[in-house]
Amino acid sequence: MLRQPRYRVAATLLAILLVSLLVTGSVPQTSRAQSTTTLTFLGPDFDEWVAFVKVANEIGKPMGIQIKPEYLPWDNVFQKALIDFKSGVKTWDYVYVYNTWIPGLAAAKAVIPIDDLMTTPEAKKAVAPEDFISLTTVGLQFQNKLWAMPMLAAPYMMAYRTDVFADPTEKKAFQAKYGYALGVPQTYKQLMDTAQFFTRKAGEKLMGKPLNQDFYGVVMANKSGGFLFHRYEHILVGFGADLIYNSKTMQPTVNSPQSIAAAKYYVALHKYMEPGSESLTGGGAERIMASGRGAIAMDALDNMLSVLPVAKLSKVVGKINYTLLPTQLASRPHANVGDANGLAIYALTQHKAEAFKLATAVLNTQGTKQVMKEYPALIPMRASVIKDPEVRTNYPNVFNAMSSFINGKPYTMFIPPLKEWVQAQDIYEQALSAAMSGQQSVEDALNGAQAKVSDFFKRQGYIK
Amino acid sequence: MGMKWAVLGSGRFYFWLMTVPAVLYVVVWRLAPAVYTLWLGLHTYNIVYDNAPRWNHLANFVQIARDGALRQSLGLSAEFGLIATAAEVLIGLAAALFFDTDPPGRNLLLGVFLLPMIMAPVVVGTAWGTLFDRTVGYIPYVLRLLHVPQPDWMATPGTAMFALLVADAWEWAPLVTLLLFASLQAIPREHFEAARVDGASGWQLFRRIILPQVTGMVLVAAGLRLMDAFLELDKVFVMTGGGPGSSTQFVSMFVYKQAFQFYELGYASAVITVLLAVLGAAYWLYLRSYYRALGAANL
Amino acid sequence: MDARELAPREGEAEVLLRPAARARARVRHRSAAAARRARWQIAGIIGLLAWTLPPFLYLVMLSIKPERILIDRSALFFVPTFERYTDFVASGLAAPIWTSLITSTLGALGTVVLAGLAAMTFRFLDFKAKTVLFLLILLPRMFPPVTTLIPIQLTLKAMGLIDTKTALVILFIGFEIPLAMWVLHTFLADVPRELAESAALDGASLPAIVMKILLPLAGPGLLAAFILAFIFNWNEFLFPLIVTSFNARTGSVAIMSFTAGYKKLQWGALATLGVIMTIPVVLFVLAFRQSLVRGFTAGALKG
Repeated sequence: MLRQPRYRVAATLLAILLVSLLVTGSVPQTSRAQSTTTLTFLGPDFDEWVAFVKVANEIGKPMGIQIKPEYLPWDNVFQKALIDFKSGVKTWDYVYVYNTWIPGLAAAKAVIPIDDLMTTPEAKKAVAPEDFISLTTVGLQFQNKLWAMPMLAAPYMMAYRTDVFADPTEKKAFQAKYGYALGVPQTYKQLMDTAQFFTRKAGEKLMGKPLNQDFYGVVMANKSGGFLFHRYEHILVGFGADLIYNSKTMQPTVNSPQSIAAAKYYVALHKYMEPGSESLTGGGAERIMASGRGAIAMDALDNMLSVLPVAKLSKVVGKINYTLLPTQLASRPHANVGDANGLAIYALTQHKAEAFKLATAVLNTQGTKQVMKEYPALIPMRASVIKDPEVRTNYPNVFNAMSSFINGKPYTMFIPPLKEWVQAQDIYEQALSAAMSGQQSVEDALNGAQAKVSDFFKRQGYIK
Repeated sequence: MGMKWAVLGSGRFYFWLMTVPAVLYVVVWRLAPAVYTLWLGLHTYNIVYDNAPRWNHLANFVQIARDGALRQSLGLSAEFGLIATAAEVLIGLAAALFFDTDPPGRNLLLGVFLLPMIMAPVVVGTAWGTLFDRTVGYIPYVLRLLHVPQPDWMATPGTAMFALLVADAWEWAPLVTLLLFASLQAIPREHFEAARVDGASGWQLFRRIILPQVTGMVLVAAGLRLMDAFLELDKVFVMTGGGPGSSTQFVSMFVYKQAFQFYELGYASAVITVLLAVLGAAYWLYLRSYYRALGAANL
Repeated sequence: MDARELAPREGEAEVLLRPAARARARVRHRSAAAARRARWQIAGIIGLLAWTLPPFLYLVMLSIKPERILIDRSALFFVPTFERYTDFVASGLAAPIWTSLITSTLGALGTVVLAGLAAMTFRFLDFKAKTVLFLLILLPRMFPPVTTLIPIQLTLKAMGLIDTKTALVILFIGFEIPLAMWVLHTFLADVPRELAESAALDGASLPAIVMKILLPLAGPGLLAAFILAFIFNWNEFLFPLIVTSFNARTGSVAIMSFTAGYKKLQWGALATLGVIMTIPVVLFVLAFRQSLVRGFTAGALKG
């Protein structure tokens, strides 16, 4: 057999591989001096967390602490933390958390609440909870405890093209068509008008010049599997609806009049979105906005900030402004659903004290500013950072957007701490997606979803 | 027929030495966890909220019987599996007939042709998902240049399913080709010569010689593809996420969501148990026809 | 003028030219058929490549298209950027890919050894419950792995093997045994039983039969099984994700993490990921296409 050249080649390759394996296997693992403590971090490979790890290593050095990251795809972080905890794996010290994961992680007791570590006045001072912008950090709280050190907020906002909105011909045409002045939409009615107005085909004119590509009124990411609902939930709240159920009575309200109105609105607005939005995630949608083919985008602020103002990626640098979401109800100004990312301490950590010490050192005012140097799109969750004069001058986009967010006093809700939230959201999202694709009318789809959620809640014992 | 123990003498000892490791290995690392799944199917167990699985008096199976979403998923999987299999058999047969004519560079060409089924399924999904994408994909682009009316590929149930079918056919038609090619190669060349001397046309050749020879293998290939396509997950995950609505939420996606998004391991296990029972029956039938076809193709 | 006068008298010509012309006509007929065949084959080759290659080429193109013009589909010619590839290299992929290489190889080797030995006894010995045992080995192939994660993770934890390459090798061996058994079983069907039987009658021991007679004949099958097992190990994602972290991170996990879910820009990074994950597979296929074709024909299976 070995006489045949093909097998000889294969055998040689195998032999080489085996020898090299033996060689590498016999090299002793380089062991570092034990004077430094190594903390492990489990999180997604997002730029802000890469920046965090870098800064944490800088700050930790004099403290004798270094940090070793393990990056995984975003949704796998939660799965891994949970399964590792359940099987007693002690590898981790820090775990990245997203606000919707908090009820689950808290119920499983997989992370230690920050409150449980704030036992001394010094510890409390290090966390400085009074400095948090509570509008953004509520999402990291559950059962009156803070479960993670707040790191980055991701408020949903609108980005709009300043050049297009300021163009005199467009202004005139808009006034003539809709009877009021073109401006940043304050209500969803205005958003619909504006989106309709700016939706143009290739060959039509925009700002007096013929377009060589289609232009879209509003750019959204509508992929099934969470992205769609995550964009839509703001509109749901803006129309005065509950987030799927009434948290006092536990009754599902998927087919409430407000919810139906919101869904109908979204289905109508869908006509003025970029075609193919159903397969887009946030990164993809911002790419279209960055190529100059949209008038308005609605997305998480840091998503937009990490693409639109970056010259390498964007053709609209300097032509974008960020503003609060519209609303349909005067009682819910700039209604939105909060979105918070934090750093939690793993329950089976072997270095609880060090982990707490370093986390508070990196995520205080000074440390956050250092992280912003590495990742300028960071939306800080501390008031002292926003107010800092350096931040104001160096990161005008962040400063302006966040100032308008804080001063605009938006009506902010958070995803309810329902342990079956993902299931409920999945049911609603499927119904919405079916309505958007014309498979079902909005009423039929939402009535069906209402029945499913009710059935589900009954099975879980919330209602009879 | 086979060797008897008496002939082997001390061979019995070696026999155990040779067979037992593999069997034991599969039992410990594959079957035991699988049995755990069956056991879990009888319990309520959400790994986030439950400390331990709780016996629930077959409630999972009652729920399976009532679960409309699951029924819909099963229907969609069956639809997808049947159409994909039919397409793959047709394309695969055409390609196999072509390879059987011994084109120049046959083996290299065959190697290239079977690349799709060897690459990671996630990458197949990514490639086709992007090709059909309205923003970057060339399929909608070319259609637009040709002034063909544009469907919204991933937003319309029919076309989203179509896109998945195209991707699946691309990935797995080569497998059908390989199987059929092997059985075509087994046809003695003299049969063709003899038929040609008798003045048979190409179609008659196909009908009289090729078709009887490959029918068994076609059944085998179709059975295999049907079962695998029925459990398709990766491409759906990457390309449509199960949408629009739930129009491409196949049964594997349903199970994945239950297990890894909702963490309802108990219910997911029960669904898998039922699926296994159905597929097990199909598998058994498949194995039988496989052996028969093997005999026929003289492999 | 009468045309008939110019033409040779039919009968005469036919009589004179018959044998030579017939032969020539046959040659002409044959070469015409060959030409037609060649034309069909070329059309077939073009059709085949047009069916298989575009998605690959498209991924490569996307992976080197500069970000700013990424979604301009009319831009077919551009100065390529290799930034995404250098990013990959910079993101420390060397170690995970090395881990993948080691564990996939050792796993595939273990699979081939175990399954090879077992397949030989299955082929050459008749014993009670043979079919049942064979089915028992093949059955796990159809088992969706999602729910088996937990017991496996707990077992590995109890053995102290979490986050070790050993754990991966153990799992990989187990995963591919059914596949390898199947492939080898079909390969060994080609080996005449009489060979082994007559050797046994001559008094050769079982190990001797295996080493001297079966192993050389099963060589191609073993190679095919090895390659298939390697490729499936290389592509495996879910189990490496859960059972390893720092010390035994695999290439598949590292590469998937690089695209990091929803936040990174969708297309360019994903395409690069696709290309990088596929390169080793392409090399393997082209190098061992003969064995692979046989392996797949025999196995007709995926992981």
